[in-house]
Amino acid sequence: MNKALVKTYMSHLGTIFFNYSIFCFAMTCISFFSVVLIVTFWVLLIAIGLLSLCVLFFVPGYTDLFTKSSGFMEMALMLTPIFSGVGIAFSVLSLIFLLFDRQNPKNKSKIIISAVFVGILIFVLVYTLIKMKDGNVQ
Amino acid sequence: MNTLKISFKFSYFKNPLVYIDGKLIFPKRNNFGNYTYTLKTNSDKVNLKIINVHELEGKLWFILSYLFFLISLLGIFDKKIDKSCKKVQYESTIDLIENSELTIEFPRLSKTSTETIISKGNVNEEVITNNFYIDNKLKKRIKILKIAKILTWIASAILITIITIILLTR
Repeated sequence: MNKALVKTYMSHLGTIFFNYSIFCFAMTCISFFSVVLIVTFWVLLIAIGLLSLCVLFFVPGYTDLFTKSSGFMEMALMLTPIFSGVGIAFSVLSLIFLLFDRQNPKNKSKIIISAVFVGILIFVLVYTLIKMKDGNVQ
Repeated sequence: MNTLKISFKFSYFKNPLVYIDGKLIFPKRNNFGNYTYTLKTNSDKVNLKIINVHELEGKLWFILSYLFFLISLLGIFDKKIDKSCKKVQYESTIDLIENSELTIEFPRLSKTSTETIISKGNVNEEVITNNFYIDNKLKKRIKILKIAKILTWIASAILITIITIILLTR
């Protein structure tokens, strides 16, 4: 296969994982700040979106979380390490694939952003896990 | 030592690959949005080649594109495919002087126009190939891929509806 073509495929795959990592980063921020700042219903409602809500409503027990503030906080607390962990994985994957076509000017900014995401998400993950272990998130 | 400063005006052109004497070069973007590259060489002649690669060109174009579509959660996180399908094949031999300058300009290709790459500068240039066209084969492949995507969306919607009904009627 043509070397330039392989680079294009790698760049495409890297961009897909980069888009995933942006989503995970946004979700981590929202769930993390909703835990730290004790923001309840609305912030997460907007963040997770109607689609996620529809899915969650079909899962028994989750409907209660939307009516109780404490339950919702638990959910946000649960989501932060999940999204940050998945976000780290996607950011690393996007970095790996984008580095194949690193000389492409369009990929340079993506590589930098992915690296920044990895740093921030590791910090958030470690911070949340330590606080969860201590039992004091706020 | 001879120097060659090449400026590229790409306009709407995507992913061009520039080779000088068979070696891929990476022009840098300047403040005016154009790309420039300066070559320093001892030789008096260089071969300039410009081509572009579309990701639907390969033998495994359908499998790979469909795989990307599935990986990106039915296209939600997918990258946009270049639908213009503009193709370029440019090759020339340039006689260098001490301070050679060359501007390569890509025209905005419409369906009817037959414009080619325009090169200006203070050098002698012998153009070997200068083709600039819209690849209809790629356009056809984009259509096939679009149909496959739509069918997958419909199939997914049906599947989700069936699963939801089963879960609700339990």
